[in-house]
Amino acid sequence: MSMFRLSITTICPPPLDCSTAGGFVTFEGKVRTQNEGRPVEFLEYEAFEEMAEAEGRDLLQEAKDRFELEWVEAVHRVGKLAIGETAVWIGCAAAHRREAFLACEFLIDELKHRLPIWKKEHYSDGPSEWVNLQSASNTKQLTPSELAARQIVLPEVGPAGQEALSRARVVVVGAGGLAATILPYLAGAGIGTLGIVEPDVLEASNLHRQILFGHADLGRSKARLAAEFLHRLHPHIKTVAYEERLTAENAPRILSEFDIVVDGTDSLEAKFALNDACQALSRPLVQASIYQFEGYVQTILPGGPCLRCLWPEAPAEGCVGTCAQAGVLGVTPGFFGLLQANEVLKLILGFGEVLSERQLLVDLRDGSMERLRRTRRKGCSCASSKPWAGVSKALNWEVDSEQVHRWTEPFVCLDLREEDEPDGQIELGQVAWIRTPLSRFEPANALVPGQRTLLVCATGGRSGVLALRLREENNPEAYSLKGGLKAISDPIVVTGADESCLPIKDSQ
Amino acid sequence: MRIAVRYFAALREQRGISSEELETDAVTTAALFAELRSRHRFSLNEIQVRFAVNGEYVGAEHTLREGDEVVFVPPVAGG
Repeated sequence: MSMFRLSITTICPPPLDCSTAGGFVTFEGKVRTQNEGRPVEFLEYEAFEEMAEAEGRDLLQEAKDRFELEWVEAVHRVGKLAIGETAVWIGCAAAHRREAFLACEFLIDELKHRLPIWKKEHYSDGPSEWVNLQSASNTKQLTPSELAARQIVLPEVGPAGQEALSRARVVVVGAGGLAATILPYLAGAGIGTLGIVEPDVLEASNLHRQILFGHADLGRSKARLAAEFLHRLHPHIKTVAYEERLTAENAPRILSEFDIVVDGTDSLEAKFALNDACQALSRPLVQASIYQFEGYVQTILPGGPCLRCLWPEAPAEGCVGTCAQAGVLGVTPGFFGLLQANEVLKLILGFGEVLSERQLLVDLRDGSMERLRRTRRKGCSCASSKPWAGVSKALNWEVDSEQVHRWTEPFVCLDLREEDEPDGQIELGQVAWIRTPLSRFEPANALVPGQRTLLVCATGGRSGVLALRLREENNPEAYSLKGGLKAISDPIVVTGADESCLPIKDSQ
Repeated sequence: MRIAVRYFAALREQRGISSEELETDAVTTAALFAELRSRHRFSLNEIQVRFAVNGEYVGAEHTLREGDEVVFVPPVAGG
């Protein structure tokens, strides 16, 4: 249970009440002796209590979902605080430490932004004003759908596509010139989780093409810098920075955490290693390689055609020039990175034609393009790879009544409305209508494996969330009635318990 | 016969032009590449380069025909 509360007295950190967590991270915000060079005597916090508590609870729940926390609690002080007192306490527990650390940092940033709490600093050298922490943060809290407004109107995206994007997990290997456009455009599109694998620190020679970074960042970890940039761009995405080189040993651990892998590396060895790892793990690999003003992009799906269909053995590293040796303009990797981001969006949203059977070659000097057909090579090891499970399991989980009427296979309706909500069924062609209040829903009891199930509720909210969760738990036959029972115009209502339509059980 | 040739990446750099039309007696893609390699002193050999004819990757022993468009693609790794 996520708990947020305001406290008028000294904060006593609640004990961790969770035995399934392996990592427990706490944060304490303290009152210190000075602020912006002025000596502080004491602080006062005032909150719009009801709103702050509601917003705090929502935020904790959001962090719990996003970082898969096992346990989270937070306490914010109100009233008069002396130097050294704790103003805010946050505790996050997760299966592993990384999520706990990330969630804790996310929460303190967001608490300051979102909670209607005012602070007054009392200085020993004069008075001060109340400062709203929200306005002090200078960041308007934007919802994911506000940020995606211009793409949701595309029929290829829509609310379902946007939801699929927010659930997608994409890792970019190499935070160089290709990643400089791959990462921001994927973050901008609202990809839920972005991984960055990069062992290097920023060097001056990177800056002309790696435009996520600034000259003041020289010497810092590029993986972390990229993650910081992406959070500034999109506050809702989760980033995971791996400050290590991808190897055959760590590839399964890292890549299996993601749905799609994007190749931003600059060596043949790395490109072949990624090809092999992605085939073994059944992950699509979006690849690009450049040379001065030219390059190619292709998407390698599990089962091929893969890189080894064309090059059974990796060519010797010395036979190709790297950017360091051959030189490159910043725009070249930027251009090909954009094409890679586009491939990722096509894979998730399912529009257009992914460049899996064709490789796209572009020469930026004259704008000429060639699409070269690639085929599977007989006997190539990729033939034995399992097909990609896809993020598509999160797609098309919402159906409207017209689609349901076209279903030919038998299905049952699970009515998730609670007992205190209206009763009554709607005729959609189901073989059974079962009242299963969400508060008592148990997948093992409610679902028959392989049986198509349409979840319904009043407005489609609860059923949509549950359907997505069930899809992720490998129930591909779980659907949600879009817009719920309210959305059905001209319904054929079967009120009450008509035994002939209710072969299994009534609401209990 | 007359063939249109396009050079990609390092090959373009070594040839000095992106594309050309030429007369050749070479029967296969690999033979055509060997001919051009000795003429222009390409650093890469027939085994290191891939061949596409009329928009499709083909093998080294693919038979050429009048009017074919051939692309020579060396390995590329920058990023």
